[in-house]
Amino acid sequence: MPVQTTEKGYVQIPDGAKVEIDGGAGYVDLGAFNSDITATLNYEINEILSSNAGTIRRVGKSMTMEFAGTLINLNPTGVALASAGMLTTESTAGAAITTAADQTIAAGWTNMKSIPIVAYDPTTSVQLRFSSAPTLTSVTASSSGVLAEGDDYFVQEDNNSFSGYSILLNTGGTATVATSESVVIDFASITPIAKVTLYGGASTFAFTAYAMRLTHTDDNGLIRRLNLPSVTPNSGGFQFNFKSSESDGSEEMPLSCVADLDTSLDSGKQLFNWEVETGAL
Amino acid sequence: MSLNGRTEIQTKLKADSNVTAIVGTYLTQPAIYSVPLTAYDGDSITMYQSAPKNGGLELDTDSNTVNCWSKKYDTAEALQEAVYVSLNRNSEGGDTFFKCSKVQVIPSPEIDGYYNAPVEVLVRKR
Repeated sequence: MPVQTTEKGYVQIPDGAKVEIDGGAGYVDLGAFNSDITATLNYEINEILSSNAGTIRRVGKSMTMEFAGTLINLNPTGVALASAGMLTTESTAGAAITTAADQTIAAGWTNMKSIPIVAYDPTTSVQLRFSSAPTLTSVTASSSGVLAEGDDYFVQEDNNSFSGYSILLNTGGTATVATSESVVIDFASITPIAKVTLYGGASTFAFTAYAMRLTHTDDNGLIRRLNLPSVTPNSGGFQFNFKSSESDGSEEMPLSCVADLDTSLDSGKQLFNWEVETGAL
Repeated sequence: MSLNGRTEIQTKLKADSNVTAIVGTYLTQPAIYSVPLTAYDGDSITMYQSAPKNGGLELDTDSNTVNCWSKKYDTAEALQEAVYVSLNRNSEGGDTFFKCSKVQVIPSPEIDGYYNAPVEVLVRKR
């Protein structure tokens, strides 16, 4: 028998997705999941029936989308973000570290693009999260020499940087540093976050809906993405596990959310949008 | 898929300078062969189909083993890593997708024989 169809250009091969949440300060990557990630469209149907002419009309209402996935990157900050304001975090600062090794940014960086600042505890070799902006002794380029803050470079808070901060290098500054130069960050003092505590519990609470997007990017840079502009969590998620040593895999936290209409958007586009770039796998 | 996906694997590996920098050159081409046998006696890559192909699947799926050969253990392992990085969760030609597993290095029973560092490659094509 012949092949029944040759229409396969939009067959998409499963390969996971990046789950990001925007609570108002830009999209933050929640990190690793260990399950399929699903988003299911739900709605109610109202059938208008007649007694003598059958079904006159079927109309729909109450469109929602149910998200489900199992998070294994159990960053308290990410969990708090996914709670839409129900849970909060507090950071406890540790003792200042003044002997962290320099960070070298290799040549080939991109002008005015965030480069995560990375530092390690010199005693434990643990990567540091900063409770505040680090104090820098100097930022020095291999040819242009010492760079000036606010001119040749800028330090900014960055939720997608493990330390919480990133640096932007500016080729248009006074020193005219070139992207072909390597750059060394000499840390003067870093106050690390020693602990993050997640808190929850109130007699009543209101959600502050966040935007969520699920993105798969193939090795050609082509994406398919589901955008959900207004999402709040469902009860029953946020399960804290302490598995036994006999269990396989990692500790995990199932998440369940529902996307509702964002009525600030145009009617017909209020619940979700699904983008598929041509050729995306 | 031609040769049950091995042509696509070969094309991808021949285009990867991290792989071709390790394997030798036989005549004018990198020693990367889509079949099990080679006349070349340097560091090389060969392949064979390692599981049945199910013709009833809606998506073309093939299992292949890519063997990375060298007389030096560390070279065989480095070649295996280069193949793994080149193929795993990457695509070829916009329609073919690879998933890989590295297998432990197999020593030769002969004292001057070749180490074989295999990579199991699942090839899926739409």
